[in-house]
Amino acid sequence: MFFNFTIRHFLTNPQQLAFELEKSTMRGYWQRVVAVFLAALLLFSLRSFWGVNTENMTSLLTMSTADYTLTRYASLFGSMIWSVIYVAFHLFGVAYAISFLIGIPFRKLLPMQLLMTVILLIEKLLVFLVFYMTGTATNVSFLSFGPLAATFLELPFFIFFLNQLTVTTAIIIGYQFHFIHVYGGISRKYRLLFTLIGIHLFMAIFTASISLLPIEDIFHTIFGGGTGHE
Amino acid sequence: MNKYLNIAIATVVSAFLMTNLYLLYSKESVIPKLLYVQDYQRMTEQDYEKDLFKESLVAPFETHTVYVEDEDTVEFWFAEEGDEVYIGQELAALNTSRMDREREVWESEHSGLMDQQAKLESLRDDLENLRDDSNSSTSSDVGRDQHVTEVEEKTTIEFGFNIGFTLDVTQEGSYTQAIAAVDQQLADVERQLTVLDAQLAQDDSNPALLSPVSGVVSNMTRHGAKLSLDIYDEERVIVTYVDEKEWQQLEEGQHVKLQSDALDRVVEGDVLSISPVPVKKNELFEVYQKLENMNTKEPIAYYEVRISPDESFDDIPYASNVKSIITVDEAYGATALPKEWSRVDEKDSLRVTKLTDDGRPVFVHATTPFTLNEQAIITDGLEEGEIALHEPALYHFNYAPQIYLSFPTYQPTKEEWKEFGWRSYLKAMLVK
Repeated sequence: MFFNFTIRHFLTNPQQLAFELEKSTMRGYWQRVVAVFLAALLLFSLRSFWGVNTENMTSLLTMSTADYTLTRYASLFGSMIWSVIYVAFHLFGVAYAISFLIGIPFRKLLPMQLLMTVILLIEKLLVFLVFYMTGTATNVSFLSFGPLAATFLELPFFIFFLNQLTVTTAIIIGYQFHFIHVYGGISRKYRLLFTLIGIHLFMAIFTASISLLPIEDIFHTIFGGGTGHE
Repeated sequence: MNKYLNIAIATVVSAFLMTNLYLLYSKESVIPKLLYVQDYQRMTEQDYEKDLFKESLVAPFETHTVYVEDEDTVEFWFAEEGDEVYIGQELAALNTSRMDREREVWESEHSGLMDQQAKLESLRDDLENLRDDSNSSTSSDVGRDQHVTEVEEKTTIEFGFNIGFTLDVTQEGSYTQAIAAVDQQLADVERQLTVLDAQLAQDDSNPALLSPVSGVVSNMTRHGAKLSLDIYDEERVIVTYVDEKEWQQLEEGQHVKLQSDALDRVVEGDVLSISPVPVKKNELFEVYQKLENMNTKEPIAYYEVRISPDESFDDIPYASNVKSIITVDEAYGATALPKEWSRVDEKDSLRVTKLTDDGRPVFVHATTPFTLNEQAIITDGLEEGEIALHEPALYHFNYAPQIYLSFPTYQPTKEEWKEFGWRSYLKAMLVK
């Protein structure tokens, strides 16, 4: 028996995906993987082309149009590479982490993680659409606790950390919980739930910490160049 | 149970999203925004000229009119329209019986001219004395009827007589220039006196009306209570007519380019005078109305503008068509940006947005003497190389937000791609 792996259908039916995976052989998965990579590439390129995250380059324009233009091209290219890394991480990296912590075969988690990646891309698309419509961007996402944190908290780390906790994170945890619960036949529900929450919290802390790193200084330390760095 | 849970979750999530949107986009929001700017432009310096294109006509510098008391005075006319006449030439044979009255008119004219000549000569003497004094000492005695004002090495001498002219002369040789101008006036008076003298000295048996100037007879009134004869000056100017809006833009001395079918090149010129009085119906104006296809019943007032060409137009017939390009505004080394990129501040001043070195927008005041093709010409406030921005949303910000720009349309050259260096490429890819 075969079943077609359709994103639209299984995005709302984690249990059914688990059942189908157990009973029959999946078809059309890798085509979807390619499609998701391409969609991410397109989305990240569009964001960079429109200018999201390029605000720190703006000052370059006062010096030279050529330098600014080349920086924007490089940044666009960087976003394309980043889209590949991003999808690869959420697809393979997170699947590996879950398989390592919960003890479910890595390959069995890949279909679920592809759906999770799609949810993350939809989130990014939604945020981008709001940016595009308002003509403004913000450092915090309207789907996260970021706005609340930015309004009431001072410490950058907490703002970055809470900004990573989004409605999408909750949806993903819910989906993963249902899927793994049915598919893996894990009886200790709460342990599973807390493990999943733990993974996501760890990822949020990790991302928040990265945001705090003085990347520009590190870059200059490693590669040299720039003002005050020889 | 499940249904209620779903409703509860939906409510909580909706409330959460609403709160977030309020915190982010309401007026009370304290979260800084990054603003997208679609339009930006690097300023370049250029010379700008605003021109007024006008149909214009060749016209005499002056029209002299010779009057004769009444129809019976003239026996017959020697001259007719289109005739070239020289100074002192006989224009008409006069009736001997009417000579006494004409003679009276000429005599009063003669004494008036003599008076003017005397005054001019005395002024000339005064000026010569002043010139001699100023050569021997630096302090000069200001003459009785003229006022000398010194402004930055320029001296304006206003003559107190009813001669009615003002001279702008430089300090050096100012008296010489003034004397030259007086001499010119004297020559004019003397010329008129010569004609009158000749007129008065005529044999009463065969009297004639003499031409006071050289020129071309343009118009004659042969019948009626008062006869007249118009003589066009040989010296020509260019005349055009402007409406009130155009009048506001014009100033004496503005540069003009003149083009005509009769000329094979562009002749330069200057605006000589702009009449503050609306033009009355005359032949030239009628020709102009036809050239511009104007409805003769048009109620708008038109004003005469005279242009003095740098080269002589004496070979070109009166009323022939010349195209005039009057430079009403000019700015050299100015920058320009689309009009809608700015907001009007006050007269000749705009509020524009430019990019600071730290990549943020700032409002500045820019001086704009005029607009040209929907572009505001800026002489001060936006310098060459600076980036001007256009984003109306910026006016709603009470702080200068960080901005990000639309993708540049500039296409870097091969050399620029190479020169940028791998470090810069890597940095742009890694560092956001």
